[in-house]
Amino acid sequence: MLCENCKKNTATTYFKQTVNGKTREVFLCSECAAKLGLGDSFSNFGNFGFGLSAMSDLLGAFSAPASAKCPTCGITLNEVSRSGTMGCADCYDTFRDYLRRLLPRISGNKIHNGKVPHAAEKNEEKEIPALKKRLEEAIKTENFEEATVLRDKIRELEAKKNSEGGDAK
Amino acid sequence: MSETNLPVIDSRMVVSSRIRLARNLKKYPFPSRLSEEAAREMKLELHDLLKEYPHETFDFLDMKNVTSVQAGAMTEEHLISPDFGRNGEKTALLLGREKTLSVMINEEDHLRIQAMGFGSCLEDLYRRINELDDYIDGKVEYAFSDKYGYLTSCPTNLGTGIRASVMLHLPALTRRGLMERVIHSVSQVGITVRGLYGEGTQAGACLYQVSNSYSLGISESETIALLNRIVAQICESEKKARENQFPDLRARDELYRSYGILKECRMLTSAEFRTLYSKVRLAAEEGLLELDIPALDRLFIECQPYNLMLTGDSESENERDQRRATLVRERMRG
Repeated sequence: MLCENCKKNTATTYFKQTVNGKTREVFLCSECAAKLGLGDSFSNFGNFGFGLSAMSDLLGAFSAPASAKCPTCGITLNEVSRSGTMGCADCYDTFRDYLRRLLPRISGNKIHNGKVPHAAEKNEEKEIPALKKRLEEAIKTENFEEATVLRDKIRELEAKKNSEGGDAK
Repeated sequence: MSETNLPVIDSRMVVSSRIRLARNLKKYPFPSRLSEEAAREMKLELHDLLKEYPHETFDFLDMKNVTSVQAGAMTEEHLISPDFGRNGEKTALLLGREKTLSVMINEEDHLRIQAMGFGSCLEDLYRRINELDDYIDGKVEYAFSDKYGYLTSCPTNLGTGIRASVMLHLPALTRRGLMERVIHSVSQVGITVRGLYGEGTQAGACLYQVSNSYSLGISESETIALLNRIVAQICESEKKARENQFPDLRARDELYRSYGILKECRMLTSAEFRTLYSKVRLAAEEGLLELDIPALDRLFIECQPYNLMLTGDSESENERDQRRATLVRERMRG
């Protein structure tokens, strides 16, 4: 079997983790395992942001390698998970898989509810189609909790639209 | 959405209220990835922008020109965070004249807009801070996403970027060892309680900061309503814990003696002052002593080490303890 990270070398290391009844497995070559901090020694795990175990962090972020870099500010996923902070606004897009796993531990699977800046307000017209697109994506990635929230938000906006010019905010 | 049954807060125990909003400008990377040059540019840009703000006059304090004693004193006043002063090349503080409104530039986020007031006043503070936020929003473009709300350096501040907090004086709950239970139970509903000034020991001031733990998926008004509700509950528990305590002459005597020490002491350490402050404040809250509580709270800040250093040259701890005693004596005697 080939390593799932580099897809070149033979996989020699196997990791398995079960979270909420879902089991994830990863097969790595020794080189990639070391690179991801899953080598022989567990001593380099350090303190990952928000007290997440290094294992779940790495497995969670596996779809983006730890060396993935934000094209705007240059920060790597490794640095993000170690410091617990993002480098710029675009990091939220670059590291979205990491966030998808991190955020439920902080605030549950929620989306923004509250004040919106002027610049974003102008887009309100386009909000429903954009939310529908995100809903499709959430269903595709089996992120059902987020899908439920999005569905409710769409319903709420449609109801508001139908009742014509409800109160702002 | 304003409730008809607003929680009634026993305001005697409320020391102060605070709100901060975390905001970032879209065109710059977050402060940790920001070059010193870009940070300097941003400081000037925001300074110019806030000069025009019609509802408040701000003093501009470039932190690179602020001494460590001044920064320490501002930290004790909760105007800046401890690390903020150490990174002077990038940071600046815009401070409103009455210190109610302030803006930290390049703390963890580009902007930390803050409002502070004595007593329980979250709604009023939010009105003021929101007005300032609207003004800045009209001049710059904030980093924002429909899904995550205001984008912040640390994902714990996503959403509204609001952190509302109330400082409470809880001597009876502390003395009865009930604070841990309070901290645990409110954490279940997204509220964090943090002890200030050496809690957990008998020598504490029994002051606690109660704040929302996260800001994603919960609106500003919901956050404030939740916090008010929890604060009301905690104050109610404190009130219950105080019941039947003061008919006991020994308990009253302890408080009067503390007042006596403050009126006559010649040397006063920081730790002793914190303990005595708490006892005298409790006596005033319970109507045993007639004291101006907000003035006592201001004195508490003035007696912190850096604030004392600010008003005199006394470098040694002995001299500071002596000056602290003199200051307290003067105030207590009126």
